Amino acid sequence: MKFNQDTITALCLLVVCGVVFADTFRMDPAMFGQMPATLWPRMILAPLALLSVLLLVNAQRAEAGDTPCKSLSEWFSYYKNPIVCFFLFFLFLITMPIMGMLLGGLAYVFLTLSFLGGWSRAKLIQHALVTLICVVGMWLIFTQALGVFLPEGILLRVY
Amino acid sequence: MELFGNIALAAPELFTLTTMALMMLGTLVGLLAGAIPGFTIAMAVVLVLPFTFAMSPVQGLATMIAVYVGGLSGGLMSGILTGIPGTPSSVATTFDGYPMAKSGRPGLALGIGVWSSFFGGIIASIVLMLIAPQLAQIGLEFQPVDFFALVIFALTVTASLAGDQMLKGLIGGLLGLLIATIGSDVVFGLPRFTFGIDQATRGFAFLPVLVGLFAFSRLLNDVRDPSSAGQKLGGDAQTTVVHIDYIHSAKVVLKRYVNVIRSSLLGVFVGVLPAAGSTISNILAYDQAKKSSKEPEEFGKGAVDGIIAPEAANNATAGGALIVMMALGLPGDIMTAIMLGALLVHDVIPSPSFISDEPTIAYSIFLAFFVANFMMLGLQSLTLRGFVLVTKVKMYMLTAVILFYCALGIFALNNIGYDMWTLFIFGVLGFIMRALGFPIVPIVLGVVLGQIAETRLSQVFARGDGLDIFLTRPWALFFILLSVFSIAFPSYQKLRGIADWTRYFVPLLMIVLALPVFMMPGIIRPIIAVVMALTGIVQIFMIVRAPKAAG
Repeated sequence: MKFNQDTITALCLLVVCGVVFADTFRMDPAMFGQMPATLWPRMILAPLALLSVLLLVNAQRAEAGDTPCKSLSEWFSYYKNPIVCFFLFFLFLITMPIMGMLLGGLAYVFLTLSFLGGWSRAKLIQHALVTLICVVGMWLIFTQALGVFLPEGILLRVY
Repeated sequence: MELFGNIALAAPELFTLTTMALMMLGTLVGLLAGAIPGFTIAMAVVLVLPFTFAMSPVQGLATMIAVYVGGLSGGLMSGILTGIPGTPSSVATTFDGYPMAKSGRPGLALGIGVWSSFFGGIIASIVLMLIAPQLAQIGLEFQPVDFFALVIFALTVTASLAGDQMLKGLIGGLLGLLIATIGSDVVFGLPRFTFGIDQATRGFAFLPVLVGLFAFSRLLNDVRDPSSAGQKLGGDAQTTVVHIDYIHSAKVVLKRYVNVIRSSLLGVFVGVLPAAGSTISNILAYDQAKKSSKEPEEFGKGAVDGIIAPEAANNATAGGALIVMMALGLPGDIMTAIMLGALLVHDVIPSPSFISDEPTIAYSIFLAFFVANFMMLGLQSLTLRGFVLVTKVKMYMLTAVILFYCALGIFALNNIGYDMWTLFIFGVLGFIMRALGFPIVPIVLGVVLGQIAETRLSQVFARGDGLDIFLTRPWALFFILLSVFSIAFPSYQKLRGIADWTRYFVPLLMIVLALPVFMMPGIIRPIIAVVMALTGIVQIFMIVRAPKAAG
């Protein structure tokens, strides 16, 4: 069996189909004359599983060497930017109750800018200015002009 | 007369100082966003969306339409001046716009593009006002089973437009439908696929899903390569402010009115098709203009018709997409999906009765589309200066700031942090799907259309209709047959002129579709069905009689 990208994708899809399909058996039966909650998902899962098998077959038939295999470190270095950006966004969300939208946003945008653009002194000053103008500006528009209650966070909360 | 009555009803709502100011701002934002290579119109509309929450439905939708129209026209600036299309809908504009600009006539090239966009938009808005209410009348004939079949058709067309990736397109569409089932079922509200997570019973609001899958993943895809992340948005090309030659270019465009009308109508037609959009219409219109030109050899060297066709078509496509969204309440592409989201935020639910039930809002949208084209015309020159400045911004700066704006805007939707987590999860999913070669549009449409499909199916069930209803209801049969043909369409396109069976594809389609059309009520439609069937039969007869070499 060839373990190329499409093969792994197809296998993952089949696992998802299996897990979700199994979960449909835990749902309550429908009342008389009503559509059961399981019908529509099963109608989706059947062709999805079928097409995943087709993808698997196609992946097995595909010529080898279309996409060279990457080692884990090569893969990480290839996707470094998005991975770090996602991680920073994750941190932004997880620290939201403490930092709030304003402080969290400032930290998130500054760190993302600096990670993507560089850490030289001139760049840091530029990034700090961009962060300050864009984040504070937008925070003011939302809170003052549009009247949206954004999360304050524990650090900025005024009792 | 009803049309003018409704316009008179909507006009006072739309033509207020605030709404006009908001629309002008929206057009400016759209023009700038459209001009930035790599920054899609959908992203601009997504970013504007949260600002519309505090507005009235008319103001909010008019602003978003202004962004949409501006975005469609903005792409021509970078396409003509730098050779890099600002949006995929301006790809064909660069084929002749850039050579004309390079040959020392940038003002004329821009003028032709601007006027063509304007006329395309105006023609489309007239068609929109005339056709949408009629289509809505037909939509009133639709029963739940017909809507369900229409959703299936929309998804198969979307997947088939993925071309060589059709299998992944179909899988993506189904995945989108599956995502829409998470939360609670539409009949009893019972938890479904929550796997013990209480918050998951809310399901996923479709705007965070849409922004995550589409915009979030796209932005991170753009900065994956460190060297391109550090590049300026306008590339290395030096852009200078040029003056648009409005008067001369208007004369040039008006002389070629046949091309303008043909391309605009083609654009509207493509817009009506689910998921086709301006990305396809501008190329198709360019191709048609080249085929019908007396000087096809001039195309690619700065031909006037080569700028007119794509620009008229891409603006007109917006009108086509709005026709279906307004008349049937079904979004056909990302843009109209966002529009639908905006309508729902304002508690306006589009359906076939929407235009007759809410004429003020419906006709305000029609009028806004019309007015936005005039604004676009007037604001292009002003935006050119802004464009020159914006092209100096680096990609990574835009990405970092917009990711934050996305989070802020999505939070403002329902004021809950859960939506931001939805954005994050679907951002990751969208990025992975893109990396694996899955087209994103079918997934997004699957999510948007999933709940509509399930609701309609439950109604079919509740009515006690059997499966044979799909064969006995003319519209349901019509869409099911179209779905079958749309699945075969990529093979037809690929093998046309090579495989013998492709010669029978179109005549067979006409004959097969004649059956449900014949079953429809009235006199006109059965007559059309007979004409369709006869045309198909004659074509097949001619193919069979003709020598094979001629095919």
